[in-house]
Amino acid sequence: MFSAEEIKRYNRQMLMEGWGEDTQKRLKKSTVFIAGAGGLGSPVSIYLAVAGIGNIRICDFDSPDWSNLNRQILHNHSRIGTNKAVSAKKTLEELNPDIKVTAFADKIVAENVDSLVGDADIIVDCMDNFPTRYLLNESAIRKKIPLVFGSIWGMEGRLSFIKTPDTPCLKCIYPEAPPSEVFPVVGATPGVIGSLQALEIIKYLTGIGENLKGKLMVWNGAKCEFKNYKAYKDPQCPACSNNRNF
Amino acid sequence: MAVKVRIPTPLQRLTQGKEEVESIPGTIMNLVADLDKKFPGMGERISEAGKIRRFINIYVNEEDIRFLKAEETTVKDGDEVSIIPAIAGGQMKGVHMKKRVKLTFPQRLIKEPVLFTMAKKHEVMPNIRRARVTETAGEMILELDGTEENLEKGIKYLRDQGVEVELAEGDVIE
Repeated sequence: MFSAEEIKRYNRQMLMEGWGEDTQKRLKKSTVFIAGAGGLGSPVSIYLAVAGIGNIRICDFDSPDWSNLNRQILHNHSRIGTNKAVSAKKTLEELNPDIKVTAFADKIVAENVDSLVGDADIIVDCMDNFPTRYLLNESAIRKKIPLVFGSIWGMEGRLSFIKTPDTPCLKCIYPEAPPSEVFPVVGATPGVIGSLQALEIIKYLTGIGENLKGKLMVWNGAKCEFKNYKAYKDPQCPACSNNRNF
Repeated sequence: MAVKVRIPTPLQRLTQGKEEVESIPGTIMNLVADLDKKFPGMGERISEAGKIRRFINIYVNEEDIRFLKAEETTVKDGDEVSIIPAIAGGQMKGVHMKKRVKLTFPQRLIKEPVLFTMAKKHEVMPNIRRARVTETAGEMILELDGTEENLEKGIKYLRDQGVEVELAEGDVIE
């Protein structure tokens, strides 16, 4: 199943306790849906690609511009004007030609979210707005697959591993969307949170380590502090309770 | 001793950059009122009509108050309260937003229809909140309503014409 180059490529991670070639094969057969090829989508997709996740579905309707380049390391100034998902596919396939990357230049809406996610084993939220995050949350609930939530601001970040019914859903944690804004951000911030999101996915797919379930992790980069807060299922949650409205 | 309150980055503007402040024991809403007294504007950012905003989580130590007694949750000396808003951000293309700006017109522009031209050319709707126009200068506080891109273009147009544009804090999307 693996070429000699692939064995060499993945050698260092296959040294991980409990990993080996079988686990690597499992990654090769896995599919991850990455919603957004921006600040978070960049580190997430890069680390998943080089770890050998066999199928990456990446979606973004936007195209890079100059103000994205301080953090969106999938793209560069020569890609301005091309679609971000298409640009991502190009970068990722250069990093690892042995994986399959499918690019979707769509805006994620209620009507297409399930088909975009397709047969993915897990969804990773690399969005910049809550309305779309809620759509991903609902799709994950319907498909009974996990969603890795991440968001950033300045030198601050949030992370949670959501898999209903075992954990609260995103709507239990944050029932309403904050107002949208153009916010300050240093590229290293999505670098931190995106790397943690990629690691949550790798832990889930390999079965090694523990996922961040039922907790909201808050990273305060200015002080270099990580803190976990407890998250609970809302018995009245419109998305994941029995009273749900979809 | 007091109650320690952790302020998230987006609200640190109100606390002069302080990440940790002190407040008083009592209910969460008392604490919010106390914070608002010390840091004017904080109350409105966190709460609305006596309720904590639904995109802001408040934790007492590690527990979410929505799963304790919500706004009635009481805190005591030595507790640590964390304000953790949902952070989303991102430029939402095509979404209408409002920007509050202060414009200063130089004398030569007072009689020119600069605002009208900006509104028409860039599809930005100006809503005048306050204005003071004299023989020699004009000052105006406006709310501009439009898509983010159009707002940017409209503001650039005003500046190019020689109008001084100051952005007021707290852009709102509705």
